[in-house]
Amino acid sequence: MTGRDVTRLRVTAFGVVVPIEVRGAALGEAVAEAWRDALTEAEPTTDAVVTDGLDVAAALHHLSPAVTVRAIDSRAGELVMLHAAALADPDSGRTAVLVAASGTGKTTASRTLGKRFSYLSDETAAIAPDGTVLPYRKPLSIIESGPLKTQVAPSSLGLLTTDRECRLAAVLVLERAPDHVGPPTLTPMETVDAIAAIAPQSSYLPSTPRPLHRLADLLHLAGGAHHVTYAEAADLEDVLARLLGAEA
Amino acid sequence: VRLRRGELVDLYVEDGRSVVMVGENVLVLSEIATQIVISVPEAGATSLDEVTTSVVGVFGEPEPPDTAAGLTLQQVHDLAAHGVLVVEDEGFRGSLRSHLNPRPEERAAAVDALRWALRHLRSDDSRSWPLPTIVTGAAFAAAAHQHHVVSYLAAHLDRLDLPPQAAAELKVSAGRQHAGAGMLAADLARALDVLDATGIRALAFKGVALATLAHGDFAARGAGDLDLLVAPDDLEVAHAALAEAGWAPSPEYPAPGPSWAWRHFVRTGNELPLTAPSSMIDLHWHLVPTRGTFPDFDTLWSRRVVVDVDGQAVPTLAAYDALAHSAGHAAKDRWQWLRSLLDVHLLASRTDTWESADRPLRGDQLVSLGLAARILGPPPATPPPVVHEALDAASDVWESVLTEQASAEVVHRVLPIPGMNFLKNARGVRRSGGAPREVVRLLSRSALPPWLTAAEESPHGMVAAPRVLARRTREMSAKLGRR
Repeated sequence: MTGRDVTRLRVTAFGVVVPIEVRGAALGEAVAEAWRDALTEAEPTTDAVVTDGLDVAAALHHLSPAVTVRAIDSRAGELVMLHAAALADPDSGRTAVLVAASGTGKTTASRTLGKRFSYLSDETAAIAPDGTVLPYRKPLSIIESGPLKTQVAPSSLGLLTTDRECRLAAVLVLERAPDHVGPPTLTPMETVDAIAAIAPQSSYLPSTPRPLHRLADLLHLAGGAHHVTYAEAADLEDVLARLLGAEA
Repeated sequence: VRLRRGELVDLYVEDGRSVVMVGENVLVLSEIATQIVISVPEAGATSLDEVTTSVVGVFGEPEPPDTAAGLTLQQVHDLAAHGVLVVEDEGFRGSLRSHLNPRPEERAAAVDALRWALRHLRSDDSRSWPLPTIVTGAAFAAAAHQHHVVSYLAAHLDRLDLPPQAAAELKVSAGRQHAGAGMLAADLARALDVLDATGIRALAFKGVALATLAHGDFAARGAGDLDLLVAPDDLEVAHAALAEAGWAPSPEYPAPGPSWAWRHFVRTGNELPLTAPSSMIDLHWHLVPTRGTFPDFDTLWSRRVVVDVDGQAVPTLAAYDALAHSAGHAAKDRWQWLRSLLDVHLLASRTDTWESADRPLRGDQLVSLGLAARILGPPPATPPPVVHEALDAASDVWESVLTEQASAEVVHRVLPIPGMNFLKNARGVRRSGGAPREVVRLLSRSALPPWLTAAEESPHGMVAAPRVLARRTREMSAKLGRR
């Protein structure tokens, strides 16, 4: 392979600048396209993630978690990192964090709601102690056909992004119930129950000093957490609008 | 009894309730449990009496016949089972140990109770099954561990009337097993992705795939290894792909290549282990050791079903193939574990299992089905003539199986007399209806076992085989000498 076949990119994930070294021209183009909303010129803050392979779909499929892990490793003990989608009001930067286990609707909610609210992440909501929610505009994993999900840049799906500072304003624990009838049911959670629901959906939480107190502080900052039962992601739009103080 | 706090990462209290982190587990504590924990100092120990006084000071005395000391001790049991508290009393720990290692008659009673509990859970009876008073909760929990049905019981605690400590112990253990099964499911997804990217067809069986197929819950059978079946022609490519992805081959097995050792191993064996930090894969190129007793890979693949293992689509055996395999596996273990018979019962209770039946069950598989039917009740979807035939087939072994199930000894052990494993496996060939040539293959494997061939790189059997045979002879002589 010649040097010209290696593409070097840098992407930002909640403040971590991860270099990506892509081997193969076709794969290089595909990675640049899928990650275009996360590209940065800033200096790397971690070692490079190297990706190669003849199968572009498979390489993209494996690249996304590799970058996420590299970024999470880099900020362990510093940020609270939740398996959650994060969406912000584009005008105020007030941000809702939608906590849900893998495979239970985060990406679908992000795709649907990201056309009205700014997309920060569909995978990891990284929150600083002062409530700042840091963006991770990774490609979304979309099930199209075959065993591997397709990786698509947020802007390709028409999702909004923002460069303004985003602050935690709402925490929702999602429960998708396809047979739920009517508007979403929103139930305030007591802090201890919310912590117990959210903690398992976090990365490196035990590495954080006094982790449960840290979560409690964030929940208090957001005015507490809500458990939401809903049928379709579109039903959540009014809920977010209300909680973020935007016009419905 | 002195109490101190466990290794708590953090404890957060609000409005009288609390949430606590122990290791990576997070638990919500009731108001009384919270009071117990905060009355134990962060450093040092305190007495159970002092803790009880503190609880009474906040909540008052309970209504008779309950006593504050009794209720506090019950909560302490629960907190200790979760690692929130540590009990520093040798006598107390000794009593717990004796429950975990009960006397033979206690164990037999507990295993008998376990059979009845499982039978109740496999019935339509929605009432709560009471633990017989002769069996302690701890002995029952120990029997559940021995028979690998902790997760199944924990998922049905609403239909079991167990002492709180036993229920708590089952829940905590099931939680740990769930976490382990989750890691296995993630590794299974990765392994299947790796093989798929290489163009290899692979069927997952046993473990989390079987748990999903039989129970509808990938964590219901606990955590173990990953078992993957590939076509014999794909073995070397699959081996290379998984090794490249981080599952290291064992040096005790020959490496793929042109060596006679590898050819001999592939010809005489059916699986090899590959190990990564978080999981071990048993990579199979034949489903079972005895050739010809199961359909070939292409047939199994054409009949496969896809199950959702923790969000990942996983190809696995068709329900009838899984039943036949689980029933054969139970027989191989001499029906010692109730989990195997529960697998058989669950699979035999599915209508689609019998819709996909394309061949009769073998004799040993019928025995497994008969034992499952006798212990857990007739499986509702199984055709009555099959049930009758199975019950008949199981009658000869019934008494010995009950005895073995109550034993704590593990059947699978390396037999110290050279050649005994061969004889045992040869009996397995007869039990499973294998062809006579299978005995020849087993003899060849026994005479030239993989751990003695692994280092042989010669491509020629005429060169390598005599050297291995010489080593085998020396090994057997040494074993006999030690006896």
